[in-house]
Amino acid sequence: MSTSAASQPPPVPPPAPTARRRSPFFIHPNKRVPLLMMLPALIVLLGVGVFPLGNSLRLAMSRWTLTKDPAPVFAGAENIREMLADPRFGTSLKATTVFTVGSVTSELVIGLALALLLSQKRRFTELARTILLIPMMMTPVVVSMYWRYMLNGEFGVIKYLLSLVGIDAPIWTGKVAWAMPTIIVIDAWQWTPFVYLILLAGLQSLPLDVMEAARIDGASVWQRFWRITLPLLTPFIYIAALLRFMDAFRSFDIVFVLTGGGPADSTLLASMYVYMQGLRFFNMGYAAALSYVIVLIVLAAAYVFIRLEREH
Amino acid sequence: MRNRISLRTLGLLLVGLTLAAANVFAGGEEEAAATGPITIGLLNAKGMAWANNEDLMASQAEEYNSIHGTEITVESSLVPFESLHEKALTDFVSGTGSFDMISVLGDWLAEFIRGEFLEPLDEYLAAKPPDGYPEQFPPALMWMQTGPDGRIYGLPFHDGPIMFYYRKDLIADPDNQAAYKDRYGYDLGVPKTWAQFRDHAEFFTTEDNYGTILGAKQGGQQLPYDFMILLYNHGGKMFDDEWRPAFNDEAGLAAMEFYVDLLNVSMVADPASTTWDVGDKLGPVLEGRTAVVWDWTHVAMLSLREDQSKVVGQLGWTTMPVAEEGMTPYTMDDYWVWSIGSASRHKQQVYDFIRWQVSRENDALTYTKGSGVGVRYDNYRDPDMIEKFPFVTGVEEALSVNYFTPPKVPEYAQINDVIGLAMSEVIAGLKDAQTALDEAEEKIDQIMRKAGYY
Repeated sequence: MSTSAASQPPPVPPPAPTARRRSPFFIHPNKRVPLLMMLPALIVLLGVGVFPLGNSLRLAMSRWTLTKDPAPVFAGAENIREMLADPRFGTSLKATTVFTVGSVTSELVIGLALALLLSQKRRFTELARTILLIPMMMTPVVVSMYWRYMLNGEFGVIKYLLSLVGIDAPIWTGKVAWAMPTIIVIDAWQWTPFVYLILLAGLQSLPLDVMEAARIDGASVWQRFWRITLPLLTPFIYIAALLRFMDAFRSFDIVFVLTGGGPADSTLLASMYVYMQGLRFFNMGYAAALSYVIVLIVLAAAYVFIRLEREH
Repeated sequence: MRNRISLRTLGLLLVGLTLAAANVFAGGEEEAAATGPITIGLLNAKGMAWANNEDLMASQAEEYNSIHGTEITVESSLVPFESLHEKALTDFVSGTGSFDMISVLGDWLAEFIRGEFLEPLDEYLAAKPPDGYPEQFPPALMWMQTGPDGRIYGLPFHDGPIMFYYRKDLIADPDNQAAYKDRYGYDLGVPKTWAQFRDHAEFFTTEDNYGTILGAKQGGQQLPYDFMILLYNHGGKMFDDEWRPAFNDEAGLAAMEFYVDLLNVSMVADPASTTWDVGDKLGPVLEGRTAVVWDWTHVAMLSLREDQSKVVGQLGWTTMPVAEEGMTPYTMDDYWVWSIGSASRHKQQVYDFIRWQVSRENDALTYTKGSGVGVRYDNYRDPDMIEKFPFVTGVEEALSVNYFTPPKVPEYAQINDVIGLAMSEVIAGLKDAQTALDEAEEKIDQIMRKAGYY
């Protein structure tokens, strides 16, 4: 049977239909109406997303002082070379890293504590939850102004409150030792509620039966937290950390309003340095190149976060 | 056929959308063709002088219209001082001409002139000069807005030479006089030298108050100004005749070390000074919480107002102290001008309005209706004005003897940043004054070299 089958000539494939040459711009009739519907949105997207991104990439490879040069001049990697020789950019990256790590860490720790505290129904829980969200709803500039008044060395409420207990308030934003911790605290004040909100949602989605089983098995509160709650909550912690990292890394308003990057560049965050280059000195090419480097750093860090989260 | 139709449809749609967008961004032709009622877009800083008040500017426009039979509306955009430079430049570069009339600080004029963002006024001034022009306008107040081409790009409206202020009541107090003599071995009086200034500030530093206050916030305007004030009054200067940095010498070192000494060694300056910029010193001065200070002319003006000042009639003003007796004191001169945006569509009308704004009557309003100080000789010398605002004689003196301005170069924003950082690093104790000066000199040399000065 198999022999006879093997002796048969192989089946001839049916002749391929003659391929009709189509225009590269051919749009299938079924897709024309949907495409027309999408067209305005696509044009807007191109205009506000892709075009500026492409243009800024072109700028990043150009020399263009807005107040002097009539148009950008292609300069290849000149801006990158300048960046490598610019110690101030390094200073700003260092300050940004300290700020980001400091603020995100404190937000995660306090946010987690608040989420654990307010995840159970108690008296005033709802009220506390609502109040906690207020800072997050304020614009960063307003928050910065608010803190600027509170920290004022002349009439600030914090100085007054500390004086009641016999403590001399330091010059919060005027001394190198205090300026960075101060802006970290302000950022944490505003954005801890955001972390708390994500972690609270995470806590409320945890399976109750596992917790119940652990309790019946005699696990202590600490053991339950460390062995069950925290591991189950880790994906939420990753998400909160990633979102806050990306946001904190590009923080600008607090520093712009409160310190101007000083004293002695101690709070010169990268976005503040980009602002100075772009909108104070109008070195648009260099500012665009700096921005791209910041974006790449954030993307790389986000990639690492996501990989870690997946591995977990 | 179908393909062609679909492509044509898409193409037409794209062209239509592009044209519609272009029309939206161009703002149509209606405004350009306007000949009757005119809206002047005004860009101004918040709270710098009386003319910066939106309501007052609107009422000024009404008055102007009633006198001249015009139909001008002034649409004021008031932005915080820190953002004004950026706001003006981004509008200039876009070329939209949103702002017809702009108040420009002396620091920015060279940059704006180089960018051809301001309209030269020479032809307007020749055809229809303001009353008393040019004889009533001090040459010191026409310097910053005169371009390298010799043309004039603005008319001054608010003046601000730095003046040196002291407390007459504190100096006149016999107890203070006796104690001061005991402690320092010479009579208490208006400090003439920086050493006397330090003694004076030290003597009046108490548990609650400091003898002096500074504007030492990095990133602000005042810190570099302060360095320049001390530099010139130690016998130094910022640049040589070829625009090479010239501040890194004995005078520069003495200036920087003296400033830092006030904050860190003698500790006679309020430590909160490191958070203060232009304008922030005003409160403590008017509350009588400091003894000696250098600041802008608006301090003299506001010190006379009973509703705002606790030191009415007690604040004296004179020329700056110097390093050694016999040296010539210098004051820093910086001022505001009205300019016309080169993209403005109503240049003649805006010029006419500015011309009226800088008339003697309106210049006088700068004193009476706000916190500004005018710019005209005829008001400085008017007996009524002198009686009401005695400091005007001091202003005229400051402008007619020895003054310097911020470096008149388009790169001033960068120079300001370098000096501010150097000062801040020394104040913070991160660098010694000589190292900071060396680095600042090198950076500014690079900036000037890159800009093609040499």
